[in-house]
Amino acid sequence: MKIGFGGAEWELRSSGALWWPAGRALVVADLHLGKAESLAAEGYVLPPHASAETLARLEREMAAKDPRRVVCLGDAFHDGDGVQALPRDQGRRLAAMADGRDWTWITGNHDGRGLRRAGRECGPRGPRPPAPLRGTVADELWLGGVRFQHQPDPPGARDAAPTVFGHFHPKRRVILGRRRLSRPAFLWTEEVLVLPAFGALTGGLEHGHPELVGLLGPAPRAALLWRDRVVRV
Amino acid sequence: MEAIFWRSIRNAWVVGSNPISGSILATVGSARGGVRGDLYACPAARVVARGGVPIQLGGVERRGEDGAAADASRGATADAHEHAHGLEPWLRARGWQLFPHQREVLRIARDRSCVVVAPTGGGKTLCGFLPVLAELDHADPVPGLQALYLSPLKALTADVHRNLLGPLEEIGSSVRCEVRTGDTSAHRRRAQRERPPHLLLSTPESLALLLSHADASRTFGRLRYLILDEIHALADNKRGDLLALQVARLRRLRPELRVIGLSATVADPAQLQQWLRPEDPDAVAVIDAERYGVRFRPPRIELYCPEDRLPWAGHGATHAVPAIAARIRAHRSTLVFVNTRGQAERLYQQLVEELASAPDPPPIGLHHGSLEKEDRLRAEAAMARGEWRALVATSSLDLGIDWGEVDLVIQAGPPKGVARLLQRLGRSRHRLEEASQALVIPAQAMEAVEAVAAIAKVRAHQPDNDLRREGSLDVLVQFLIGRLASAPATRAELWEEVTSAGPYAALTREDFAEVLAFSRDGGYALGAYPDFQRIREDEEGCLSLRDARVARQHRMNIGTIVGYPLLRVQVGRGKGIGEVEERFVQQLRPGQCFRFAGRVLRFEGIRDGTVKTSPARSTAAVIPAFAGGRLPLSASLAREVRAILADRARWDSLPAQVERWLRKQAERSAVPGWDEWLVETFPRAGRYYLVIHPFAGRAAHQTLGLLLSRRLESLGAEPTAFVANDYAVAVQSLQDPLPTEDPSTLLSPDILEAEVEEWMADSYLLKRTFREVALVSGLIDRTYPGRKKTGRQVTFSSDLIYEVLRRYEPHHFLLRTTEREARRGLVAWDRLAEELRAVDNRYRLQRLDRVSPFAVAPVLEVGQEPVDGSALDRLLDLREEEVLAEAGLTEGPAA
Repeated sequence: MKIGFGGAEWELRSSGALWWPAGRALVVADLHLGKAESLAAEGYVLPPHASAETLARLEREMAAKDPRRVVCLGDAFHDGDGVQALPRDQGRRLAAMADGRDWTWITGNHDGRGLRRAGRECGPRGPRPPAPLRGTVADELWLGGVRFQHQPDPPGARDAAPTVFGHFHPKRRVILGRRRLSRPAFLWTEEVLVLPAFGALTGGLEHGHPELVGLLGPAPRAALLWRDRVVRV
Repeated sequence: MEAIFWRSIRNAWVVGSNPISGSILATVGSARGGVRGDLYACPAARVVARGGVPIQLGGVERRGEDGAAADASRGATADAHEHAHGLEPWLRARGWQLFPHQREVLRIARDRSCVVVAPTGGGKTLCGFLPVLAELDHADPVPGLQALYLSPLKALTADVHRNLLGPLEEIGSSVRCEVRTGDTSAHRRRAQRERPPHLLLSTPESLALLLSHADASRTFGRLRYLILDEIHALADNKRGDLLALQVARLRRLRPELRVIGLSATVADPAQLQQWLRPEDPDAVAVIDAERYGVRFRPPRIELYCPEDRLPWAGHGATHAVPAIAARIRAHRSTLVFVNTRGQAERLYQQLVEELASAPDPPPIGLHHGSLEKEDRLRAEAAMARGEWRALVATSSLDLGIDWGEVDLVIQAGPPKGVARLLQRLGRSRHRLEEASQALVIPAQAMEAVEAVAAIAKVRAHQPDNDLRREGSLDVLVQFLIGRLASAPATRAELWEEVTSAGPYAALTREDFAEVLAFSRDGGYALGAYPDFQRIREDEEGCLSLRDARVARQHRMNIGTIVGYPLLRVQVGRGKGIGEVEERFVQQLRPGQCFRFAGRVLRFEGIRDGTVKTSPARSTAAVIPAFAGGRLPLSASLAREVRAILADRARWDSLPAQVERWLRKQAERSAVPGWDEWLVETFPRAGRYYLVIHPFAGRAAHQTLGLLLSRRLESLGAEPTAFVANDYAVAVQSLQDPLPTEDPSTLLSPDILEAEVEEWMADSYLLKRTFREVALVSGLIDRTYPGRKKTGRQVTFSSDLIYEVLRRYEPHHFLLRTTEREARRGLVAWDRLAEELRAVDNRYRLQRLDRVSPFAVAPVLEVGQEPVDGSALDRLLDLREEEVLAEAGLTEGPAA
């Protein structure tokens, strides 16, 4: 599904990714790689397949779009240490995807510290993530006149530029007769676009939550992910 | 003879009229007047005047005058003297003697475990306490926990506590008796662990918590008696699984422990012995109170049938509302039982309106599990005081406290099971001189047959509960983690302990290994998380928990009852009045009205996790859907219904218009024989209908409906919808569903294998069951209603986990456990398979040109019920595609 935002045309993908055709850029938010592993330390025994599933989804998007540029919009890793603790095969898969692409890791609240710390080694264009990851680490990024940031700055600090956020894992509810569906969704206004989480085992925040209402107002436009399509509601 | 536990030949005060805990304590000259909770204490004269309790008094007096009984009790005295015990002087001082079955409990429990079986309302709880009360030195009791009493309901525990304090005080006993439930303060609980009382009254969940601490062996180190109340209500479900494991654990800690199980009449007491002690069932004595003179007195049950016409379809008791109102006016105190909370709300409203249409309407109340606890207690107290004349209730009142004054019990809607009907009728059996009265009101013709069948079985006193059960594996995971949290153990020790619990006696080594593997690290094929195994094993093969975090997480999640998230309902600025399911509230729009707690409320919004409402007057109010409201039709009752249908001689026992309805069915179609299924096809309003009448219960029929729909789809009959009730399943299609004469092609037993995998994977029933398994096994944390998530808690969409697991490890322990649970639960696979085997292709096909009398109910049923959404869920599942298509939302299968 295509929408106009910040003066450019974007495609909302049923995977939850955002595609910018003009710049051949793919943006994915909140992969939360290593979430299950990190919870295992707490005593939970969740299926260890979530990360693999998330990577498989990402690989499908690579195959479908062959992007020139990829932006991970924060919280790609569930915790800071996860950046380095990534199982080797998963690291290799990520590296393979990044090969030949311009890859940016935007820092998030979960992985920001880890990425920055690990990425002190600077390349020609700024900090680099630790091997085997490739690309650059950044707190924000501008593409096509639109700003990309994991989560909003504290109130007041935000400038007026149209911004794309992750962080919230937004969901949207629809009621069909007596049936209630709650699915991950894109939510947007003229100024703000919030992406759904791309990770496989990530919960969500219903639209109507005060934080989302504060950011988007009471009635943002919404498109929910339903099977293999994106439905405007 | 009504059960009277203590009797006096003198004039007595009667304290307590609760047949489960009380009715029991007659004390002389104590000055405890007035009503305390549900407990009465009144002078004899007043008791007679009140009319409820004199049953006991009447019994006491008559027995005293009765020569034979007096002889018997002289013998009893001599016998009792043989075993002098701590209660003896006290009993003697009051001129009281024990009843034969009580003496038997005293005798047996000195060195054996036993099960006391007594009719509902017969009163047995105090029986359980007799041995320990008799053994204890009341002047100087041995320190330490001597007896532990467990009941399924917190309210019962509190009630028993009150009823025990009386006599303990009378004896001048120094024995400490305390309650421990989820409501007990943390401070008090700590004190109880450090310095246990002599008698502790608790619930299975609280015991699980106690047993998970490292000091469990100290806490229970002196335990002599374990008293399990109402085990018939636990033995056939997951709570019972957990309890049986805990009993096994306690027996391991205290090999000399004597267990006293207390049960209502059950079909087969041997099942209780097996449940308590599978390796040696005969070590548990069965004391059947009926053999000791406590006789079951069948209540006078009347079947209500309206004079004009009993509806052929529908569920509500609307047709009987004026009649119910008239009965309420004619009786002192009436309990009206219905089967779902939604029906309770509706019937209450209808009754209030009906009663208000005449002058001086008697006050009535509403009682169901979603109402605020204080409001439920208030309703119970108002009934006890005789201020309210009737209470409309659900199974929330099946167990527990009653008031002795109830002189009429009404069952509105089909009884669904004999044991349940007995239990409900038992709420009023407290009169010797006049039999209690009961009225059963069927909502439709087939329910009338069911009611007649149930009444016949009640009269014959044949309960239909089947307590055989294979324990759930998710419960076993929970138990094992708790077990290891309290003390390390080897595999062999665990195996022995687990298999000495009835439900797990037949556990296989493979399942046990899998349960352990899952408990350790999730049991994933990858052998994931080597660094984070929850269970460690030392060189000697001794297993223990990794760290305190794992134990903490376990304790936070103890229990087997898994509900859906609930939100508290608040009116204006007042306090809460109860809880409704979050998913119901999410369908409401501000301004919309709904009916709850007997009131009409306008929905204002959700704030701070509370549903804000204001009083309203709208008549167009919806009724919340409550999950799990439907009661399944018991297999033995279903058999009885078929037996009545098949035997024309028995049609005389039916109301005349029901008999006419059967004759019409025989004339237009056929009435099935007891061992065959009636299969009917007919066109109606441009569609075809296939109606099958297996009498196998709604869940099994829904599964059959889904399978039939799929099969009809592949045969090109274009099925459009189906509906199931307890007696039949009806499938609607665009083409003739049975172009051949042989229904067995459609119903061949392989219907259970074909396409099942695919269907199972997608079914929301599986997802719902998976959620339960994930919560009980501790995979994810529970969220507690009304309580904010703590930072530590991990919540997940269990659906997402389900999908990931299915994709990556379709044979994982959790998925197989889910399937197993669904087969015997929501999907009712096992029952369907059994019925298919039993019918063995004996189908009676009737090709009709129009709908038959039997088929009217199922054909009309779609959308008949205003709300009660849970039952329609599965139907909606099928319809979802349709609705989504209308909204432009469908396209292909999941990616």
